[in-house]
Order: sequence, then structure tokens, then C-alpha cells
Amino acid sequence: MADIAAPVRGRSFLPVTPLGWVLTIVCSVISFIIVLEVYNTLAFNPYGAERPLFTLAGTMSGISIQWLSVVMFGGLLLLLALGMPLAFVTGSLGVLFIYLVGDSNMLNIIPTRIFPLMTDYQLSAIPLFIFMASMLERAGLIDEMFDVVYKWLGGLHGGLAVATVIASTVLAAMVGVIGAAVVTMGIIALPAMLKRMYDPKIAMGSIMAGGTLGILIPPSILAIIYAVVAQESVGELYVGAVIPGLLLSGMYILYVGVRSAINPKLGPALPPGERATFREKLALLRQMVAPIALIVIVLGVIFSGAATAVEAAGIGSFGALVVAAMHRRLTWAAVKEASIGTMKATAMVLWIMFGATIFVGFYILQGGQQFVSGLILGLDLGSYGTLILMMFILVLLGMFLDWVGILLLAVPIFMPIVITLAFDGVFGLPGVPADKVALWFGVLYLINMQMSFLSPPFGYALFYLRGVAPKEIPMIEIFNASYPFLALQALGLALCVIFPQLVLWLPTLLYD
Amino acid sequence: MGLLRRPAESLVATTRQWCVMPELTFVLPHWLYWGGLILFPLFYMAVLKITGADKASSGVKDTDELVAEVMEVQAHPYERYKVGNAVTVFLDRVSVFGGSFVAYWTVIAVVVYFYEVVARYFFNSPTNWAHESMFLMFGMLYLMAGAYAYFHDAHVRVDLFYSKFSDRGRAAIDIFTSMFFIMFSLAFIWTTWRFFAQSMNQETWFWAQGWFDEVSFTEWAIAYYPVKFVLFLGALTLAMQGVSRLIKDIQVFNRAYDAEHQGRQDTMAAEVGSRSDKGVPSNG
Repeated sequence: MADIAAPVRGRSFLPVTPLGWVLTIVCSVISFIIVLEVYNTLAFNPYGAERPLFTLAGTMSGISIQWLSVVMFGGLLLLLALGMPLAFVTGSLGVLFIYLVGDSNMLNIIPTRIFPLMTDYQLSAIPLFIFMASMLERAGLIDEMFDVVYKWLGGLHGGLAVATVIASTVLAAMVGVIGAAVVTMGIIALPAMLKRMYDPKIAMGSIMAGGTLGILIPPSILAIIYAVVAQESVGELYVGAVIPGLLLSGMYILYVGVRSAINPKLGPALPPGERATFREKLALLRQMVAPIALIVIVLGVIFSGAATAVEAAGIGSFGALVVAAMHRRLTWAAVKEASIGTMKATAMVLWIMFGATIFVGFYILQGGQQFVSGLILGLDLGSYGTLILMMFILVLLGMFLDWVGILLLAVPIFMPIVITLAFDGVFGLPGVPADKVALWFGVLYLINMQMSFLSPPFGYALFYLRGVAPKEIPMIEIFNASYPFLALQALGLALCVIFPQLVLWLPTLLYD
Repeated sequence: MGLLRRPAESLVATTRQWCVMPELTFVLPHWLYWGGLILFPLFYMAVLKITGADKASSGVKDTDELVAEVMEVQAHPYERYKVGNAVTVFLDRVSVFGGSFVAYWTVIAVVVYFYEVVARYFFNSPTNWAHESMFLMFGMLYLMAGAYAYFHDAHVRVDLFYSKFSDRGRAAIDIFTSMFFIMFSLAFIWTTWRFFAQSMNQETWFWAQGWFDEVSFTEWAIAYYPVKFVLFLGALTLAMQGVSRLIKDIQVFNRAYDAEHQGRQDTMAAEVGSRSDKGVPSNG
């Protein structure tokens, strides 16, 4: 621990380096302005004619929306690049521009936008689903699940990779985020596959692609947030995401299976001595009864309309406590850790929403929505061209912004544009009914976000896997492993665009 | 209605025909709601303390912890430079206590939603309070959790360039961006205070600016002002955590300079005087 430094006694109050000087001066100037504006705000009398002191409030009031867009999003990029947390970047820029363009009274939109958001009914499902997943993980279910699937499929060529995808899919039905599956599968499944001489690209690709399913397959956290922002029903969005999720999962399995069948060296089967007997397989299956039953109950009550997503999340959390008790892991400490973890993870998501709602709320208030929609519709790309452009922008944003951030920044602006467009179908196929466009776009958006998680160079899945993969594997090989699966995701996205019934059939069947 | 709905409904209907279930008429009293929110976390914390479980770990990590472990290449600069003083210790304690306190509310929600579903499906008596009480509770949870997450540096940032800088460079950037954080915090505290003050009757409460004590427009008619007060409290604790981080960043900025430029013997000699370093440190 040679790099630990204790403070030096008797140092002078003045800076000693140029950087120190610059920082001190810049921060002093900004602080002085802040103090001045605080005084202005507190002493400002709405009935008096004069402001007490020089003030910056309202100095940008005449700005055109073009320039406002440039400075707002320029500031966003700058502060993001400086590593400030996204929640506070959007929040502080929102405050800054509200003050510069409007005045101190306009700042009151902050609580009036945050209060309805924080007391939103559907958002309660987020902490509950996170709690449920955390409790199930603490019951040791994830390790067991891979073990079970892997013993069942070990005898096939590429069986472990297929097992990884299947286990990830089941995991996705318990956990609504991506980090979980990628990291745990990376820890459990990757060494198992590498030891059996699997092709590292197939092994890593199936882990990463399987892991991203978490945000598409219900109960996805992202779907809840989309539903709240777009004023859709969470249940309907969940139902709509089922077939695309299984489609993607099926395509991964098919890809891995076919490649290993053609060239068994990519994924050799287990030697017969290591395979589990049928009796062992059945015994293993017994362990999975409780968690599978839990998934079926949670998703079943949502899909049947028996309970809302929030109530289902509550039942699921209760069930997770029961499952943990059955595994003898229900302790005071376990519940404490799950609660604290849930609170922290929820804070990350919700504060990004709070910050972004100020930023976007102000931008839309200033006419930003009409500006962007004029810009996009002015390109005259037709409805499908516009859709592709939006998808492209989303993938681009996904490279450097957090998923919740993208949703809060892009969806409130894109949504009104999308619902005005008519999607009459391509190649003479049936199109999307106008009242289903928001739902359809939501599912496309979820698939899209999966691509941004997997796309080099900044996709989250790649970095999660980098963290757990052996150090000998170079980053470039992880990138290469992602490309075939990225192509499969693009194919899945294209299928859902061309055949909207993949998304809409199940919700129409269950809810109309 | 949909296909799956019918069998589920008819099943419930048959159950009701054959067994006569009493109706549940329990309505959560307001005093029990607020009292439970305050006492349950304290109860849980006391149990943890008595059983010694607050020090123990469950032994099983969840993926959040695994991810953090995997992604964390080295300890946070705050730990490596051992920064902090009496002020930051106090501010951090406030953040941690506020966050842990509300965290246990999730357990309450699990019980309440279970009760609601059972009451509705088996006793045919949906409650008029379960949903409202829970979304208001979660609203307060989100707000109070902000400072806790900031203390643990859990708020997502884009560390594309940020991670490339030295400890000292990162501290300098953090000091600069904290100016923007302060703008946000001040506006947030000020507006949420007004929002809260306007929800109470100014004839009863000296700080209030409204004309009546606001309650929700539902049958349960729960008071809104405590929730709005927690909105203000969340803004306040977040700002306090921001101040704590600013002090620590300034200390890292200084100590990273010391580590680079002073010899080890200086550092060792200064270790004796390290406890006297309170108040706002200077810029290196």
C-alpha cells in the first residue's frame, strides 16, 4: 500500500500547482455567481420592478430552439464526458437552462414533475422485481439452474452452449437486468465450456447474447419504465415481448447447435463417462420445481390479467422468500442484504429518471419536440425510413448513454412522432393498427437496446464478460464473439418490423 | 376479456360458491401506516444488532455485488488516500442511515401486496389502501436512496475518458462538476421546500404557505405533506452527500499531489498530524 498518502502538516492555504490555481479560480467564480443568484432568488419580489442585483436569470430568454438544442445537448455531452453521474448531468443542466431561459419561478416545475413520477403506481414494480431477483440469487438458484440444464444437455454437441442460452432465458424470466446473467454465467458456464475445449467465441457469444435477454423477456425493468414514460400498460408490453424474446433465444440455440453439429470441434459433447444418468437427471429436476413454479405464477397472473404487474412482483417477492426458506437461506442478514441492494439499484434507475424528466420536460416545454419532429419528418423518409433512422439513433445513443437515460431522453421525443406515422406493412404484409403502434415500438425499442448492450466497443455485456473472462482472452476476441449474435439480433429486429404480428398477436389474443 | 381470464375467474367463482368466506373489512389506519414506516426499520435494525446479523454476511453474493467486485479493478481513491474528516463522517452517516432505514420498507411492501392479493381473490374484498400506501412509500424510498447510492458511488457515469485520468485529475474534474451539482441541489432543495410548505395550512403551521393540509383524493385520504417533506429531505440529504464528496475530492486532490511530490518520509512524518486535519482543506 505504498500509494497511500497522509496529509502534509502545515501546508499553505494557497494552491501550489497551475492546475490548483485554475481550479480554485474557476470554482470561486462559479460559487460567487451561485451565491449572487441565490440572493437574487430569495430577495426577489415579484411585485417590485427592479431586481436587487445583477442577475443571469432570463438572459437567454430569446434563444431559438435550434441554438437551445445545440447548447443543451452540447452541455450534456461535455458533462457526461467529464464523468459526472448521468442523473446529475441532466438535472443540473435542466436547472441551469430553466434559470437562464426562464426565471427562478419556473424552477418550480422540478417538484411538479418529480412528484407524479415518484408516486407512479407502475414504477413500484421495479424495486419489487429487483428484490425478488436478489432473493432468488441469494437462495443459490442460479448456480443450480445452470447445473441442471447442463447435466441434461451435456451429451449433445454444443450442449453446454445451448444450456447456457436456455439457462439465461430462464434467468431472464426472473431477473430484469443484464449484468446478472452475463456475470453469473461468465463465472459458472465459461470455465466449464473452456475446460471442455469449446470454441471461446461460441462460448462467450452465447453467454453475452443470452444475458441481454434479461431486458426483453418479462419481468424486464426497462419495459416498466417504457410503459410509464409512454403511458402504456406494463402487462401488455410484457406479453408483447414474450414471442420476440423466445424467437431470439431460439435463434441463438439454433445457431450454436447448427455450428456445433457441422463442426463438433466447436462444441464437443461430454464424454459418456461424465454424462448424467436419467435417474440423476430426474433428481436434479426436482430442485427446479419451486423456481419454475414461481416464474409460471408471476408471469401467469400478469398474462391472465388476474393481477397487475406490481401485484405480481409483490407475489413474486413473497414467493422468493419462500424459495429462500426452502433452501435454508432465509436469514435476517440475507433479507437485509437483499433490501439494501434493492434500494441501491432502485436509486440508480429512479434518479436518472428524476434528472432526465427535468431536462426533457424543459426541452419539450421550449418546443424541442416540434423541432426534432420537424427535423426528422423533414427528411421525408416515409414511415419505415423514419423508424430505421430512429433505431439507428437509439443504437448510437446506446453506445455511450445508460439505458434508462436513453429511454428518458429519446422516447418522450420520438413517441409523438411514431404514433402519427402510419405503418401499413411492407412487401404487401399486414401492417400495424394505429392503436398498437406504441406497443409495437416499445418492443422494437427493447430489442434495440439489447443490440446496444452487445455492440462493440462500449456495450455493457462485453465489459461485464471482460471482467469475468480469463485474462489470456484478448478484448478483440470478445468483440469478435459478439458479431454473429449481433447479426442474429438485427435479424430478429428486422423480423419484428416486417412481421408485426410476432409482437402483436399475443397481446391482442389476451387483452382484446 | 382474454382467453386465459375465463378459467381463472370461474375457478375463483367456484371456490367462492363452495366455501363461504368472510369479507375482510380491515382498513389500514393512518397512524398505523406512519407508525409502521417509522418503527419497522428500527425494529429490523434492532434485531440485526441483537442477533449480530448486522456484522454477518449471508455468505451468498447477488450479482450486483459480483458485478461490483468484478468491475472494480482497484479500491476507490477515497479509500486509498484515507480521506475524510469529522464533517464527512457525519454527512456520510446521515446518508447511510437514511438509505438503510428506507430499504427495509421493501419487506413491508411484500407483506402488504400479499395481503391485498389474498384479500381480493380469496375473500373477495379488495382493499382501498394497499396500492396507494405502497406507491407513496416507494416514492419516499426512491428519494431517500439517492444519497446512499451517491455515497457508494453507484450513480451511473460514462467513464470512457474519466477512467483514463490520474487520481488527481479525476478529483479535479469532480471538483469542477460539483459546481453543477450544487446548482442542481440548491434549486432542488428550494423548490421542494416550497412544494412541501404549500401542502400545509399556514394558519396552523408557521412554516406553511398553503391554505389546508393536503390529503389524497381517495377514499383512504392519506396526508400528502409527509411524502412531500420526504421529497425535500431526499434533496437535502443528497446535497449533504454532495458536500461530503466535495470535501473528500479536495483532499484526494491534495494528497495525490503530496504522494507524487513529497518523499515517503514526509508522508510518514505527517501521519502523526493527520488527525488534526479538519475543516476545509486547501487546494494543492
